[in-house]
Amino acid sequence: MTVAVRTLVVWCPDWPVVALGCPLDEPVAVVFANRVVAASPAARECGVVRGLRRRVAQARCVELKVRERDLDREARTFEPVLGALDDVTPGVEVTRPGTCAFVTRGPARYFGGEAALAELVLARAGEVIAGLLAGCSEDAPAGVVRVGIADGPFAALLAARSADPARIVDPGHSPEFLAPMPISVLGRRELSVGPGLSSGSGSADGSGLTEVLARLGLGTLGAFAALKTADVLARFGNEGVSAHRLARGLDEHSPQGRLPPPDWSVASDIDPPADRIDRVAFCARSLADELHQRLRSEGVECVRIAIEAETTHGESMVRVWRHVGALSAAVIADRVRWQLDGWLSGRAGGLKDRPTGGIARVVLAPQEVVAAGGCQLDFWGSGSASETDRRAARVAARLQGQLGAEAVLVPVYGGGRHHKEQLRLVPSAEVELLGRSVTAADTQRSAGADGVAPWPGALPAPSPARVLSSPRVVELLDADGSAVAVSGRGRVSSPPHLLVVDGRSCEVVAWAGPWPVDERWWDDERSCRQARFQLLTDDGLARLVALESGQWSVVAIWD
Amino acid sequence: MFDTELMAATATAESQIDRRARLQLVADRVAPLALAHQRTLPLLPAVSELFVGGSLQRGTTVAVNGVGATSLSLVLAAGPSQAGSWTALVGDEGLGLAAAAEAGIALERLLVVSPVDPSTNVGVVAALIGAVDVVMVGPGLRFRPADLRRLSARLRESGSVLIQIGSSQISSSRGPGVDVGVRVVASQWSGLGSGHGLLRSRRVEVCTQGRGAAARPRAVSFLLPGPDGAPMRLDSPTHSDVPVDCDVPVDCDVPVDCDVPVSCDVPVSCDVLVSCDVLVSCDVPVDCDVPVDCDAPAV
Repeated sequence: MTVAVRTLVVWCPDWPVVALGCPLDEPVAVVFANRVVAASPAARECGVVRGLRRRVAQARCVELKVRERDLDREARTFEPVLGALDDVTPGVEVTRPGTCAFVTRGPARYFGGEAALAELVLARAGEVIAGLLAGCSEDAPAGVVRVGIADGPFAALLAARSADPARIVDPGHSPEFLAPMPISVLGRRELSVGPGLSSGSGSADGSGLTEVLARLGLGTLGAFAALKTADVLARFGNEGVSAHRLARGLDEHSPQGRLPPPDWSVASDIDPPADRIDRVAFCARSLADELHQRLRSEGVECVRIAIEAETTHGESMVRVWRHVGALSAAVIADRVRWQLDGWLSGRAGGLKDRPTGGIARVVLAPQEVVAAGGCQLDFWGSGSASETDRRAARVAARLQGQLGAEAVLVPVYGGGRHHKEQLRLVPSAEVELLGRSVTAADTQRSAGADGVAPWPGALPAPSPARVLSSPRVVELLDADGSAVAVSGRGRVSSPPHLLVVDGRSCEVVAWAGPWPVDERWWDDERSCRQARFQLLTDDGLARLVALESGQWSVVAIWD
Repeated sequence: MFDTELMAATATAESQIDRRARLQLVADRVAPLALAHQRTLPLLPAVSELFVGGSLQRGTTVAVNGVGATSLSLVLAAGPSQAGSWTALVGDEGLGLAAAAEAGIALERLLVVSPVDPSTNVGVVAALIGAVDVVMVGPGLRFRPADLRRLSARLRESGSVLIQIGSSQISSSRGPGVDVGVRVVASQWSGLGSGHGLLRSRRVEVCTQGRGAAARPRAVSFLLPGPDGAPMRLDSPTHSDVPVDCDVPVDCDVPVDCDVPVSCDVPVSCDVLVSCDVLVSCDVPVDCDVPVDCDAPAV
């Protein structure tokens, strides 16, 4: 396992106080949200510590000067210190105003050793801070800058905090240095240096973790570091492992981390901006060629791509396209044309979304790449069946570009007791269009079931050919002219005789029911309690009518 | 032991047939042109007698009307769909997808396009015509004659079939720009009693009339849908070559015999069909006299 990089940390204690330019020998407290966040040494002697309420702090030290925290000013005042350090080495990384770190390897060799480097940094930073405080006190007070050098930023920061004014932990001795430290340093926000624990949520979690560790009897970092990594991972997860690595004097993140995926996106600026689709398509074609070349040289091919276009007025449109097999340059160019054709003509999503300016920029960003496997075509061109499939997939993609993704739908199996639920329509962009299966058995099998489970209460075949998207309210009357009702036990008050649809009445020739359904009674919004009937009327139509909370409605028609 | 001679002879004969079939396949592929009657789409057996040659002529427009027009359109589209063609449906969100699946349409090869803006309908249909074999348009969608002419030209060029799902109200069997008009002239449901039973099947009388070879009216009776949802031929198809007057509804009082046995031997003491995976069609309504504690409010 690699050892953490030798790091130098410069730490200016009580930086919020120093940044305000207050003399350190006066009792000063900096408060934020009514809590003390920093105090001068003089104030600390009176018992003013971090986290006190303003009133309590003032009670403990009567002559305390209270100042509001000014984060901008802290960062601004730290700039000159960084400027001074830039002369020593480039690449100084600011952890927070008041704390910065850099890798010592280069500068230490140049300046003749780590001790010399620490001296130099102390002198340079001290000079600047003395200048800051010059108006307040006659000489630069000792201990305004501290420097620590150790393996890794965490150990270096702890070294800086325990330094007076500089402390160098020998290479490879960080674990011994860290071992006696109290476990609580892991959770303290101002100490965490890595991205994992220093973020807002990380600090809260970190303190939670240290509390647990302390309660488990692990008082020091050494005790924690002695645990097995596998045990820590099993008990505390990734966060625990990060903390464990810190405690062992390693970098917070394992060096075998995942490499970020390379950015393969290509962009092209169109100047002058194009307001006609053919010009954009021309640019897109060369852009697609460029992307294709690039991907091919990497040995990958793209199966999903995001196409983004931006106008001169800053309007942008992004759409993600998926394609079975590799997206060739021509295919990508087609998709750019379809997408922008719909956008420029205002057909996708209504006229109000039409861009007001010409298109100035086109970006192609591959979102999913696979290893290029090549493609073997049939001898007689491409196979006849797959060619029709491809043609249909192409027209689906094209219509999506023109009309919007929600306009082109394909059925998927949903399951349920109602005809509307059994097969649902979803945008074709959401599914793999070719080579899928819609039957209940295949859908359930792909979901992990080993057989087809029935839907008790669903009506058997034949299914109605017309399912109304919104049920049509009707009246169902018996021979006396009063509405037919169904009791809670599922008993019909009297046989239905007349069905009144939109004022027209048809005589009921045959009927069956009720078939009650009481679904999801625990859910107010989706609950459904109804009694269903099949009605055959004298106009030859068979209908499925449902009674729900006293209201009859036609749900489906066997047309 | 083995009749090797015979086996060899059979194998040779088989391989010759096989070779001949493959040669025929290659010959078809390299044939310079396809005759019009060869450019067809297959139909389901139940409806094949409705059309000249037993199949749908590519590049034609079919209008389906009458009670049951939707089911009939689905059945017409099911033949090509089962043979591997794609089907598209424009402007008809109310179509029952379960019924489409039962009629035999392969749902994995079905596209449903519902444009928000109705003015784009013609463009959508035109785009689909080149790419899918069967395009169905919903009853709410009608084209102007000029658009229809343009679509017809595109249909002839690309070889797709356009099916207009009509409504039950339209009485004319064939409008302008339509090659074949299909109309359900009579329908009779069976299986539903008064207070009992379940819709089982519908016997329909369908007649077609069109242009050219289809000018002579044809009429066929079959079950649409049959007991399993799919169309079913009657045992003796009443295929008549004599012209039938399509405007007179055919009186169909012959009891339809569905040869699926109705399995109701035990009196079922329940007049509600709840969570019952066996469909019991009970001819006698039986009262449920068992007192049950039930405080449920009325539905």
